[in-house]
Amino acid sequence: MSRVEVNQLVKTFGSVNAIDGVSFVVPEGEIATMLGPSGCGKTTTLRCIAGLETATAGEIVIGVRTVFADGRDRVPVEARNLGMVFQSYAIWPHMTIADNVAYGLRVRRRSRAEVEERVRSALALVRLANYADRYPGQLSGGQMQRVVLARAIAYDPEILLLDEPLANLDTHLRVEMRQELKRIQRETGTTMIAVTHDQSEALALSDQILVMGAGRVLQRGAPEDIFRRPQTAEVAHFLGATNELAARRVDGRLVVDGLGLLPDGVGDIGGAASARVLFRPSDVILRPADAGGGWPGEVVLEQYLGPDVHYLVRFAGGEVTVDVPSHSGMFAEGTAVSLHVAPDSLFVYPEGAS
Amino acid sequence: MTAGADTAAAGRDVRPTPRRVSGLWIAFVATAVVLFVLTIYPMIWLVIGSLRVPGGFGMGNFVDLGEKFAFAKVLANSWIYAFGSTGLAVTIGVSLAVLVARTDMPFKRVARLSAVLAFVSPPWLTAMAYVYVASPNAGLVNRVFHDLFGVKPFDIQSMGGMIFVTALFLYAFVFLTVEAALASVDGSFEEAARVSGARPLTVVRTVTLPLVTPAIVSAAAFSVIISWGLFAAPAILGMPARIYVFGTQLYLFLSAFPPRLEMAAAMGVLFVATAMLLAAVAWVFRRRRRDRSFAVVAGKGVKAASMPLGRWRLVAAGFALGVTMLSVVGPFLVVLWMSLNVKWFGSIGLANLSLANFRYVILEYFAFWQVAGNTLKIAAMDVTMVLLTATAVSYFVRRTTLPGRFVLQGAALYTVLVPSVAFLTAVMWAWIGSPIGLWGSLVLIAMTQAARSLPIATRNIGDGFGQIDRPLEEAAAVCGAGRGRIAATVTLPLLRPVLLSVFALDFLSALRDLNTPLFLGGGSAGSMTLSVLIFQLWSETRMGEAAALTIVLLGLTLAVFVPVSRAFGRRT
Repeated sequence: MSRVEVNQLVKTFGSVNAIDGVSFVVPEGEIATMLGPSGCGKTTTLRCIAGLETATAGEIVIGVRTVFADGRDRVPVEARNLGMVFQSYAIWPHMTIADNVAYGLRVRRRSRAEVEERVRSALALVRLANYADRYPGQLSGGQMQRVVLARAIAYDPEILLLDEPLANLDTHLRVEMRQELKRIQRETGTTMIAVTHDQSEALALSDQILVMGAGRVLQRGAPEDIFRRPQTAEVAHFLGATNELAARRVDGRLVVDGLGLLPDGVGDIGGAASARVLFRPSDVILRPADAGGGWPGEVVLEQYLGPDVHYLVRFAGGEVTVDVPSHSGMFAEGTAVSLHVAPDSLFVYPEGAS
Repeated sequence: MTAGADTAAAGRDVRPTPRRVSGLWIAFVATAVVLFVLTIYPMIWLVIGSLRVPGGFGMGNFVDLGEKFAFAKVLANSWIYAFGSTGLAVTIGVSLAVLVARTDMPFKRVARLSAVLAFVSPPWLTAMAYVYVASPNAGLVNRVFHDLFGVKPFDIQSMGGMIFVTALFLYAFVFLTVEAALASVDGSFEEAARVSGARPLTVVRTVTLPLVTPAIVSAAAFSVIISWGLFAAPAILGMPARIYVFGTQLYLFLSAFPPRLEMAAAMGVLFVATAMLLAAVAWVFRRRRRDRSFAVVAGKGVKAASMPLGRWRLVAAGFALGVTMLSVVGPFLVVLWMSLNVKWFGSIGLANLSLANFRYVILEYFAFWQVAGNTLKIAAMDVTMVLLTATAVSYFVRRTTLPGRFVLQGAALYTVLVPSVAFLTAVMWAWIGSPIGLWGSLVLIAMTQAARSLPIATRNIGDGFGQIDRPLEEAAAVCGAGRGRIAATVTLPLLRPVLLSVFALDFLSALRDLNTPLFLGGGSAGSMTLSVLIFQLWSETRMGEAAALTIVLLGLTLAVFVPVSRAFGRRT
């Protein structure tokens, strides 16, 4: 169990900065998640921590050892004492499950008895005790996921790295394994760093989330903090605030073209003349047009999703999407409605920060 | 443990880096030295030899080639022979590949199996069989026609005959290349064309063939280069009719007294240069296709649904079975028949059947066991060298960033562009007067065969490395395994099927190789192989004995091949 510290990490491919000055600290025994769209540098950062890729500049410290500094790997991957869960699992097809799990222990020349004991307890931890002698080809996706996990923790690595650990599972299994992952982390107390592009995975799993974009950390914080108080429009957008409106300052108040005034007390935009306003489809309440108040609009498209109904609503200045629980009544396509968004659900960011 | 007290917890897993790197370098340099000796050194001598004239160096040999040795005629023959064989082989091979990979033709497995057999069967076998059947005077079919109609219509000992027999072996190479390419092309391209309303033949013409054109072009280019390196068929079919091509003319130069080594070198240089030019043209062609964003490997590798042939199914089946008959089954049966016959070109009857030929070659020929032992020893040495070198080269290219690794790969691959007999001339120049007593030894024969086999082996093993998902090895590194341990516990076990198929292919081609031991053996029993003995018996017109020994060789091949292919089992 160790803390991990990454300082001003830079990784250049040709003239492109895949990682552009990333810094963060993961305290001992916590789960941190790097969240971001593909190409944001999160996987590259993870691979640099693992030592599978050599960064260009910066510093990586695992526990008490500086494993990378001055553009050079000081400790090679095999000596970093890590566990890693690969997106493609990477379970060796020519070895049994037990041999897969035992690999790291045998590399460390542990006694035969200890290997046996630890393989048994690792498989028990992931609830695969009866599968030791099978070959990987006979396992399902969820079981493979558990094997990788068992293999990665069998030798008590200092930290556990997870590269899109749940991406290859179907929705149902993903929720189950997410819970399993957190349970195992709580039981073993291993420091974990995960990479994902799925916000619910990051929110559910993490003690700390690092939202990344274009090779930088855009924001870091606890899940609720990130979700409730995104600091930039990119972060807000990536965390589900997909509706965006343009607002102008008129007489000291913010006005959205075609909709009207924003409620008092939303975001301070300093001296900027215009702002971007973002909100989540699920934070909108729809009411019939004659209910009064709110922004006027018209339902263009309705999609029934079961628990929710998904609407596309047109207003004078554009379109927004709205998710409302289906038990609260339906609006037919063509219905005139009014949109209500609570002030603290509107994320407002000054534009052209000059 | 010098790292200090604060790392004690993780202490036993902390290792410094330098040692493994130097080990890697030692292996790298060793591989480079081996490759230099095997493939580069002889070619340097070929160039030197071609320029050596009495009293110094000059272009005299090239002038002599033109003036004294009717080189223009040999050149013309070689081109007609190579391009004729290639044209016929491409026609047969590509049509068969499309039929097997894309239609509901019956007997697909037969067609595939016979292509493999045709590709690995001894090069002299087909030629011997066709001489027996269709030689101008005594050939079996000609005699039958003579008795019935008073004419002898077939003459296998002609340029046409050489092309025909050679194409029956070369088509297999084209077929295997193009069929593999078709198998890797995503079937949805063609299904899209069919859904758009194109009829099967139109689909083949407008989608299928254009998609595999790069494969066809390189198969054709290599067929030409292979043809230039062939010796057995031109010798058995062409020399009696005084038709000389590159391989047989070289043989004349080398077996003349005194040997015209410098002439052979000059001619070798010319053909190597031509072959390289041809390969360059094919490469540029492929390159241009790729530049037009010609992405063949896109898609998920879905197998194309087979196109129904309807009434043409039987015609296609007839074609496939016909090729099988002409290239494999027929020749094998004829040679078997020859081996059991003691009376030559006599009546077709069972009365003359006997095992006398077998008794002679196995029990009475004084050096049979020695010769058979030589054959196996050479093959074993060859395979060992090829597997070690090709695996090492592929490892350096695919798994390290050492400078110079691509030079190594180039050295391992380039001999595919050198016609076989030209390379043999080069080896001769390199070692014949050398103080290291390799000349005439089994080791030199094995080394030369290894150099010839390296390109295919390196390519296959390299592809094998490419198919190993990188995370499988990265996972081992993360678990704490070093470079050597990863190779031993993950990479090599996963490569096993590829290594075994390379082993099998290489062992087979070593057993049936005639060119290398014939040109480099020096003729004594100490370095003779079964193939050379067969050729010698044939030259002495002891055809039954030659056929019997061929059957013995095939038996030996099967005895080695069947257990090995069992061992790596069925790959489905």
